[in-house]
Amino acid sequence: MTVLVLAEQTDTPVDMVIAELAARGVPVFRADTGWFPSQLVLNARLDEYGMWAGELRTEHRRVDLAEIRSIWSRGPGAFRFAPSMTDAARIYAHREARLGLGGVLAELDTRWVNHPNRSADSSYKPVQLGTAARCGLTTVATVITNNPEAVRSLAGDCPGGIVQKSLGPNTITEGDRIEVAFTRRLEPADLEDLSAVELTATQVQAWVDKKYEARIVVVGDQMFTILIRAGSPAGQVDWRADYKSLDYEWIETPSEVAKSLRGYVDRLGLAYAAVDFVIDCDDRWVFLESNSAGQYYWLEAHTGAPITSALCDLLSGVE
Amino acid sequence: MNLIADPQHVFSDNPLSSAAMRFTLFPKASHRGLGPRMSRPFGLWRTVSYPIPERPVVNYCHRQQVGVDDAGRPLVAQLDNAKPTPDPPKPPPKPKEWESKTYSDGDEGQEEDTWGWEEQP
Repeated sequence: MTVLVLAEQTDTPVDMVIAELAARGVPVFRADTGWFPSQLVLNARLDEYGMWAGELRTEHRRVDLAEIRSIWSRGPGAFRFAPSMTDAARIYAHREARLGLGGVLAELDTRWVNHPNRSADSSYKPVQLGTAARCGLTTVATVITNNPEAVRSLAGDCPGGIVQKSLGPNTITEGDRIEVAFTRRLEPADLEDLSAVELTATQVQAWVDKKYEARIVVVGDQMFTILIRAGSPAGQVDWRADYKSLDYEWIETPSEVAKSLRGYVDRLGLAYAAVDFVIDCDDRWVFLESNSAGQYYWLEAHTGAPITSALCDLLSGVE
Repeated sequence: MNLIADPQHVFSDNPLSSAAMRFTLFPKASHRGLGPRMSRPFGLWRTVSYPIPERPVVNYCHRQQVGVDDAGRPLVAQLDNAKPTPDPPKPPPKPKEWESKTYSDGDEGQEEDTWGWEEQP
């Protein structure tokens, strides 16, 4: 049985997994959806039992669809079509490729890490926060609104202040630069002009006075909890803003957090998740968000937490 | 009764569907910038600007299914920390590390091109 890995071809955490699977003697078929249709061939036929039979093939290897043990989907690239296609034709081709290749793979009876549809559904921050709360995780006071008064109202309820945080990807590419919208604390002056809140949905949350933060990487039945301590003011508000100031420590997952988090990922149908928490001054673990495709390898490199090995266990069926 | 025959309208244009994000063809970059403050969403009022990190060209070996150097040797085998230790916590001193985090890490969605081999200072 073969592990199907869908990822860009330049992705070293994937290389690490491939190398370990190879060392274990586990067959792997790695492909980038960006290779479709020019370098990746799908040949699928509905058989008499209602199963999709056939193969995925490149110039270098092939895999029988029935032989796919598991699928690791880790940000594969967009389909690439002939430059001669018009925009309209490319949109059509893209849609057909997604519904055809994506549809056949989605129908396979195999373990996904993660199934793209589960990942997409769980990308909604309101879904994350609601699910987390119902699973027993501590969440933070949150407002999502296009009404400036609702933002002021939350600010009035939160003497420690509030933060504004994007609901989705926080970067915009502009020319040769990227603009990054980090989580930011709102000062009194910010609350005087909230007219831009009316322009789209805006998420604001209570600021949590924190001792440090943590990322819990869930891989199947295993959890790896890495404390993240920021050593700069920018890193204190949003650790992504200052990686160089961060220190890491791998610890055992607190049992109550682990129990609730297990319920969370099960409810969302996720086999893998990177889940972020803040630990407040009373040592409460407060759920912030989860990312079904969140990065993990730099945490492994800093702490030795064997996340790559756990992924290999999950993908190769070692429980 | 009007039937919507074009799946694009059913899925990709559905404003409330999470799946719609996956059906959208994102423009790679904006050339109009963020625009004037009065027309900019509140979340974009105070962004931090960074140059786009160069994405190194890595040779890909179809036989080994990993990135390789010019001699065909897997790049991962050259990492100082290629074999994570089973016992925590002993971070390797000044390792060569894969830059596998981004400014947007923690968020869902398409990652920007901010990946690359890097030598830790």
